[in-house]
Formats: sequence, structure tokens, C-alpha cells
Amino acid sequence: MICFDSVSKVYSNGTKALDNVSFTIEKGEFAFIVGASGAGKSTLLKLIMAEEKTSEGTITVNGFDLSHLSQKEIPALRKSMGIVFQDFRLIENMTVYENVEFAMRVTNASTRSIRRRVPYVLGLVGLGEKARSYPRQLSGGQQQRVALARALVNNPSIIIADEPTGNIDPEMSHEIVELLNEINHCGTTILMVTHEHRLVNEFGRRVINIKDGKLAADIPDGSVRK
Amino acid sequence: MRLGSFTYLLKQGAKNTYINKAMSIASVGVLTACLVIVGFSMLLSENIKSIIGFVQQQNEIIVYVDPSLSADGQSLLDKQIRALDNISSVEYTSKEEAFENQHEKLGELLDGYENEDIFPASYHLKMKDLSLIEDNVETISKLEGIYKVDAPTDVAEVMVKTEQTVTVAGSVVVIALLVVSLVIIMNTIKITVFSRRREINIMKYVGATNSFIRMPFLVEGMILGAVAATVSFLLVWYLYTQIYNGVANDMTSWLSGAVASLIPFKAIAWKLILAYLATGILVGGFGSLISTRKHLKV
Ligand SMILES: Nc1ncnc2c1ncn2[C@@H]1O[C@H](COP(=O)(O)OP(=O)(O)OP(=O)(O)O)[C@@H](O)[C@H]1O
Ligand SMILES: [Mg+2]
Repeated sequence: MICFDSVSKVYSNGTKALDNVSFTIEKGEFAFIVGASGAGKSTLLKLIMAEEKTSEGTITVNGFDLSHLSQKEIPALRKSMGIVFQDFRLIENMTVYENVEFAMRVTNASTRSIRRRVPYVLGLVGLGEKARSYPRQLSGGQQQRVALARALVNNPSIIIADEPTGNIDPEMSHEIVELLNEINHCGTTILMVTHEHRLVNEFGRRVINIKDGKLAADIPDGSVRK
Repeated sequence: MRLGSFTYLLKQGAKNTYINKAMSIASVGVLTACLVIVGFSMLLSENIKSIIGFVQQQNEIIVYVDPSLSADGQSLLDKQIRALDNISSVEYTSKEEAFENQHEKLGELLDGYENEDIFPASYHLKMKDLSLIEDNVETISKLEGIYKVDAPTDVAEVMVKTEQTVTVAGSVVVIALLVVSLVIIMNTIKITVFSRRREINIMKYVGATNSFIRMPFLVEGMILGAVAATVSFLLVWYLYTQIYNGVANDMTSWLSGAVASLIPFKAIAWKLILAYLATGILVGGFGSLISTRKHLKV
């Protein structure tokens, strides 16, 4: 599903963000990526979503060979995954419904299937009532759930989340990860970067620990102790 | 692409035009200002040319016929003159008419004479193209039975030069304005797109293709262009008509003779609205496409 083979990333300014990282994430897995600030976690995700290119090594995601991916193939890759960010990244002047609809329009879905699917997914994240609201009228936790609905709506095989709980209070954070957990139980692969050891310990899933750009630990059933 | 997706993108474009009101108004304002200024410069230059054309028309070649010419010779000459190139009107004055005219003016001074051959018959010729006056004069002088040819060749030269200068200066001004307008409009659109780069960015992460993202911007640009074209047309219509009526109703105007040669708005209305719409929609559409390109690489 996701396969890193001796991957290194050096940014154009010379910063070595990742150094010879190898790991494989199987279909249906749930993995946390942890590590200190600046360790290279976001870089790892950026490589997966083809925002950055590897300097060395190869990455395979959903059958796409990312080192030989042309600019034109990027949309297809991204349609096969759902991406969630710390800062939600919702479009301000679209309602909750329209934000999610947009992601389906991108895949050229029919209006009929959109009308069926969007309310369903909003229901899943518990925002059925908020379809007509605008992002600014929602709490952080609610906004992140909209982002999650948007990531889910096309039934992606992978969901990638970069500190999805970073801007949310602890209780809400728990709910978000709980949602991701449920989604994972339905077969979706989940890769989530987080700083919160509490969450990692609580859910006891695989933990990939990055330190100074290197793979420091890969614990299958994980908890990280300090 | 599905029809549903296509109409979705059209609607998005229309909606964005409305949502981003401030930017839309700014863009329409800039585009309108440019279109109005360019339009007015063109109209001004066309009118100046038209007035010069009118003044040129006042220049005529006067051909005096040799009084001793036979009747046959006279009718041949008449045919030859009427067959000349570049002549828009021919006015013939016979010897008798010339005498009558002079008699009226000079009165008793001419009392002693009775319809004698003292005044030659003449042709007053108006030209289509004043710059060809020299050729005309040369051809006419070679005809059989010409007594004398009077032609304002010097004046003609000055007028032709003036017309050429106005044409060149007008084109230069209009082209310069067009270029300046394009630069301003491109920058306005760039700011519009820049202010929405976050939105573009998000769309890229959701997996939207470049054409999918650009389509609403294209629609938006075209809508703004069309609106600006319409507003410009109405403005020019109003202003031009005010000025036209102002000049036309001023009977004491020394231009009164030339007023008739001013171009009435009706004569150019269709051309103007079509030119405006074409320019507005093209500039708006291409402007959006070019300005969005930079922000699509994520
Ligand atoms: N676009 C970039 N250009 C140059 N250097 C970069 C760029 N992005 C990140 N870096 C550098 O690469 C290293 C890894 O950054 P990255 O964002 O992956 O860290 P991170 O683990 O996500 O940290 P955090 O937990 O603070 O989000 C850092 O030293 C950072 O300064
Ligand atoms: Mg990060």
C-alpha cells in the first residue's frame, strides 16, 4: 500500500529532512508517526502526497511509483487518498456541504451520487445538521470533522493526516482519532502524524518514530514511553 | 466530463464573481476605465479624420474651358472629364451661366457687354482622395480644349499631411493605451488570483486537475469582461451623445459646417459593443488563465 525504500530527502537549501528511511504499511493498517519537532514527519507525508519529490530511494503508494510520477498524474494519486491537515484547509466561502461536494466533483461524480453520498458522510462525522453552515461558524473540532468528511467522501484507500488534532482541545482530539479508528475498521489505511503521546498510548496502534530524519523505531502494537 | 460537472464549474465561476465582490468591482472598474479611454481615443481620432475629410472635400479643381472650343470638342471634353478617376462630383458652368453670375456681382460694369465670350465655361471637380490631386491636374491639363486649370495643390499637400499625422498619432495613442490597459488588467487579475491562492491550494490537495481549478476562474474572468464591456458601452454612449449634441446644437460654432461630418453614435454603436464584448471577454478570460498558471504548482 505504502512502501518506502531507502528514501532520503534533501531540500533545495541543503537541509537533509529524511535520511535513508525504509518501511512498509500494509492495506488496512493504522500507523502513527511520531518524533520531535523538525524530525521530518511532515516531509514524509509531503512525499507521500507528491508535494515534494524524493532525492534518493523509491516510494510506492497505491500502485503509483512516486519517483516517476509526472505532474499530470498527481491529481489521480491525490484522488486515491484523503488528506487532513492541522489547519483544516476548508474553503471559507463554501458551506460545509459544498466543501465536501467539491471533493466529489473533482472525481467527476454524478450529481445524483453526490446528493446521496455527501449527507451520508456528513452524518458519519456527526455534522448532518451543519450542512448549510460556513466553516467560520464552526468550532475547531467541527471544522476538522468537515475536513475528515471531505477526505472520506471518495472512499479513499488511504487517509493521511498531519497533526489533525493539533488545533483542537483534548476531548475533541479523542473524538477525531476515534473516528479515524472507525474508518480504519472499515478497511481504510490510516497514517497519522501526531505529537500527542496520550493519544498514541490510548489507541495502541503501530508507531513509527522518526528522529533527525532517520527511522528510530517501528513498534507494531505501539506505545511510546518516555 | 459530465454535463453535471460542467454546469457545476460554470455555476462556481458565476458564484465566485459574486462572492468576491470587492475584487470583482475593482476588476470591472479597471477594465471599464481602460475600455472607455481606448474607445474615446478611437472615436476622437475617427471624428478628427472625418472632419479633415470634410474640409478636404471643400477643395476643388476648377477647369476653365477654352472659349474657342467647338461644340464637338466641348462634348468630347465633357465626357472625358466625367470619366476621370478619383472625382466625386462634377459641376459644369456654361459660358452663359458664368456671364450671368458675374453680371449679378459686378452689375453695370458689364453693361456694355452682351453675353460675349469673356468668361469661359468651367468645371468644378471635387476629389475622393485629395492626395491624388497632382495626378488629376496633370491628366486634365493634357486634355484637348483646356484653357486653364486652377488647383489648390499646396493646400492639398498640407491637408494630406495632417490627415496622415492624425492617423499615425491616433493609432500610436490607442495602441499605447491598449498596452497600458493590458498591464493594469493583468496585475488586477493577478491580485485577485493571489488573494485566492489558498483556495487553489486546497483544491490541489483534494486532487483537482489544473483545468478543473481554472475553469471557474475562466468563467469569472469572462463574466467580468462582459460586464465591463457593457458598462463601458453605456458610459461611452451617454458621454459621446452628450458631447455630440452639445456641439451639434451650437449653431454659432465655427465648426458648424464640419458638424455634419461628425460621426453619430448610431453609426458606430454595433461595432463598438461587439468590439467591447470581444475585447472584454478575451482579456478577462486570458487574463485569468495566465494569472492562475503560476499558482497551480503544488
Ligand atoms: N520547504 C522546505 N525547505 C527547506 N527545508 C525544509 C522545508 N520544509 C521543511 N524543511 C526542514 O526539514 C526538516 C524537517 O521538517 P518537517 O516539517 O518535516 O518536520 P516535522 O517533523 O513535521 O516538524 P513539526 O513537528 O514541527 O511539524 C526541518 O529541519 C525543516 O526546517
Ligand atoms: Mg510537521
